[in-house]
Amino acid sequence: MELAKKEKFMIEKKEDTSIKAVNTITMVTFYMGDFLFGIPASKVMEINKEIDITPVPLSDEHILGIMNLRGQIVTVMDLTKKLKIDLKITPKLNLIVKDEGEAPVSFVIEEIGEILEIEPSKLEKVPDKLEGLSKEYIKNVYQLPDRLLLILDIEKIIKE
Amino acid sequence: MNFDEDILQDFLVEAKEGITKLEEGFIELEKDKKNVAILKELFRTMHSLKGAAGFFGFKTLESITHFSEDILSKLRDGSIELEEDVVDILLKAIDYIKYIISYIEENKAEPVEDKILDFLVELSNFNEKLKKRIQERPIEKELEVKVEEKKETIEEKKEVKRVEEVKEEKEEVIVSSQVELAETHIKVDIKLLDQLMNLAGELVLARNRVVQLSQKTMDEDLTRSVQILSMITTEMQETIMKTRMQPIGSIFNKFPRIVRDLAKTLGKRVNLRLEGTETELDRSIIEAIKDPLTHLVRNAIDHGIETPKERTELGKPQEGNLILRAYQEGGQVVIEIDDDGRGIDVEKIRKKAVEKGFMSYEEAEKASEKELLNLIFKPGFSTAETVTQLSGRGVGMDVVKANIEKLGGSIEINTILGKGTNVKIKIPLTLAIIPALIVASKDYRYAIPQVNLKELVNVDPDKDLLKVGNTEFYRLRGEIIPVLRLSEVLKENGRSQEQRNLVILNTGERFIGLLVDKIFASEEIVVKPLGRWFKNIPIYSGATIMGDGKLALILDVVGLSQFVGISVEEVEKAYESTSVKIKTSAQETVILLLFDVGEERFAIPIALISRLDKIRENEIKISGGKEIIIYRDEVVPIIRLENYLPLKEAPSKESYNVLFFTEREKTCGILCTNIVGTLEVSPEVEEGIYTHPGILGHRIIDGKTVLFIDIYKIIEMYDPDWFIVKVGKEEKTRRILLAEDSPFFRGMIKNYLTSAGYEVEAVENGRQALNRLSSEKFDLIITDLEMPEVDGFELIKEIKTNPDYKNIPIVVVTSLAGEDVRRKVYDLGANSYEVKLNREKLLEEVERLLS
Repeated sequence: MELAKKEKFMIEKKEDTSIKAVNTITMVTFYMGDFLFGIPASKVMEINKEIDITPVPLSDEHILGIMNLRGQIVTVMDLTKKLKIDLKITPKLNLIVKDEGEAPVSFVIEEIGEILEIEPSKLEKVPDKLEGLSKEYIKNVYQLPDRLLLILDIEKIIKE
Repeated sequence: MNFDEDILQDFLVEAKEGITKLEEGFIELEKDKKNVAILKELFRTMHSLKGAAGFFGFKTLESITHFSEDILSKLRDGSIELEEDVVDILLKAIDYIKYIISYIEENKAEPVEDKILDFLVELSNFNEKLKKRIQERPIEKELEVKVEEKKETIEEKKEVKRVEEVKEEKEEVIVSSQVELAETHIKVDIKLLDQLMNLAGELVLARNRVVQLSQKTMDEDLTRSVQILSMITTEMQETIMKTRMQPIGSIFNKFPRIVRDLAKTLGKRVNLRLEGTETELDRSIIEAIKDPLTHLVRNAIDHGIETPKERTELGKPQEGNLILRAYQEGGQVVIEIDDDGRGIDVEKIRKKAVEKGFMSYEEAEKASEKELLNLIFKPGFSTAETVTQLSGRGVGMDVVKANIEKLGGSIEINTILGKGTNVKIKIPLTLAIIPALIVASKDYRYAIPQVNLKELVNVDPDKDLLKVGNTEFYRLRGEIIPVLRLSEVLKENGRSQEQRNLVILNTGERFIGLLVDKIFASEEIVVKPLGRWFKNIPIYSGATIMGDGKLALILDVVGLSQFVGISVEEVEKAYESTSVKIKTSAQETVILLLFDVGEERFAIPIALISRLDKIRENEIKISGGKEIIIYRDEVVPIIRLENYLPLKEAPSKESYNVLFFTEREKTCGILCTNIVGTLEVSPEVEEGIYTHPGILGHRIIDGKTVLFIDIYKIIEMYDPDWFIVKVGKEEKTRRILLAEDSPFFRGMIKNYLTSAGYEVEAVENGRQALNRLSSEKFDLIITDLEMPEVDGFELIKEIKTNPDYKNIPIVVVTSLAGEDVRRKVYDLGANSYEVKLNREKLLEEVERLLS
């Protein structure tokens, strides 16, 4: 009996680790005001400091302009405007995100956070009480020990 | 056999691709025997190979592909199973096809070898065998069990036999499959080329930086190396660009056959001429214009060129002419399809437009020839009375237009009924690299495609621009051009520097002026698309990376023209009305400036006024007995209308408005008490009540009588020597016949011609003109186009076909210039084409033609 129980436990444990090994998602995180946002690392092409943005007059408010990324024209977006966060940021970094089949898109950010491994099973729905930004572009939230990580719905942000 | 080298080369490339596809397909098929999609693909590939072989008359190849195709079709339909023997024979067939292709590549002819013929027999036998197998099948089902055993043995026997066969020929096959197809052409993904081009662009930038650095260090060895690097970079960039270019001949050459076949089917005789086949175009564009061109050529033969019988009756040569012409014109490639067939009946389109509900009756009546011809490009609009099999093939003209526009090109039709049709396609040389003018607004640079550029003018915005309402205009040789300020379009805040650079742009339909802060040089730019966020901003067509690595937006001129203000739409309409073919001048419009002198209201075409300004009474000085003002360092004589027209004297005011009139660098000002505004009206006036020199007539506008003044006459009354362009007193006064239905224009033109020393007979339409011509002698004819009864077009035709008057020069006058009309009147035989209100130019032309 004892042995059987132990064995079962072992199996369970084994399964557990295997899930972890296969299924964690690496997240690139960054701060905007008090919010911590995450984007799957697989979607991030690069982060660079070259902020030479050419404005495109008449474009939407959340579009800062375009920039030259090694011969590609990259559209630069201000996420605070897109997410309606009441915050004025000083662009310091370009977080360059892939856009399937199109030229990449850059989000200007002030400060990059840690690179985190998260477990998809622990992703939660966006809570109603979340305030101070437009929730439609947040796909999920993820509880970190000290704060809440907001996972951005990159496709939606880019496509709309 | 003699083939065009290019076509054969194309065939070989295609065949090699086909072989690769077939080989890959079979490998796939072995994994998944029931995959119908692969079978279908294999069948199609084999089928096109067969077609091509048949076209070139490669009989053996055709036979092999024919039998293989047959087998594949059975597989596809499921009537036979994919058994080992079937795969083997098909693979063997591919080996032979490969062998034949490589032989053709070397020898330009098919091999005649026994082993190939033997294989052909084998293939044919096998095919027969399969047919029997299919016939056996239903019986198999009925007698399933009984036959099963028997069948197996048969199969076994066959198997053995087949193995033997294979063994016999194995060596041969190996020989043939070892033949390496020498690759002279390979297919490369365009994306890869794009990427290469991007990288080359980057390399250029990196090179530039290195060059700068090396100049600082002044190291001789380094400088030399950098020079070499620089040269190689340039050469590499050019070569990469070349990889995308192809002569248009590669598609033009396909047309002789298409035309021949089509003409034969339709019982017509067509002589096709290809011109400019060496014109180079971006490969992707070449591919994309193939179908539209084919469609247009079909149309020309089907609807354009008449049957030999009809042509004989019309006095045309039996053989119709079709010309495919390509040439470069200002960074664009123009392709023309020109036929001398029956042309397009614009009146028929007009009728059809109403019938089919594309236009209301009124719209159709007013519609210009261009507008009507454009209907051909609307989905669901076809003028052919019966849709023939040929032209009714799926793609319509709407698709043709859409495809061409997708390439950034344009298409236009010009036609003369009974004489032929010319379709002109303009497409960019390459989608990737265009010459552009670099301009600046504030701190950023913008690129304007050279194709849209007409000219650059240095202006003084305060002096040279005329402001009406909120819109500014510039007068460029008699034409009114609306002006946009780039900084305002871009909604850039803050005070702009003084903008003196006016870029005149051609949108294809009209001209607009764009005031910019700075103009840099013209550069070749690499066009890069903008992201989807900018699609709804009409003023950009892309972006480009400048030499310093910074970006510049490329301006879309058509998009920009949308920013021309509402009040200018009136100007626009006036523009369009020039190309509008209407019956009388009643629909022709002019933009009038209304102003008051004392209590009287006057009107004058705004195009005649160079600018408007206010002056103070005390600025008016007397000099040499005449009133003058000093205006921008220039002495400008002032004319008071009341001195020349029977008016009450205007009360003295503190300030006046002055209308400036400039001709031949001489300016005078007309004093008025009040500017009322502008109005777009037809130039109709009533004559009779106010018959005073200097007044063309009157009209009631907004309940008030408005007098139309003849400024030329008034200035002449003021100073008879003002317009001295003395023709020199000749022995004999030259006689001019003027046909113009609008009394307004008639009066004005007649006046200035008379004052220039000509004897002018004015008539109201073409019919009257013809009557006069039959009884009197004239040295020159000036005609309007839109007139009742007999219009200008008909008049020109009549004159030019009558041996008695065909040598009299004809000047066509119109209210504003339009390219299609110009072309048409010249085609009809007119000698000159001028704008009515441009007196100076018209007089010059008259003088030229009479000398």
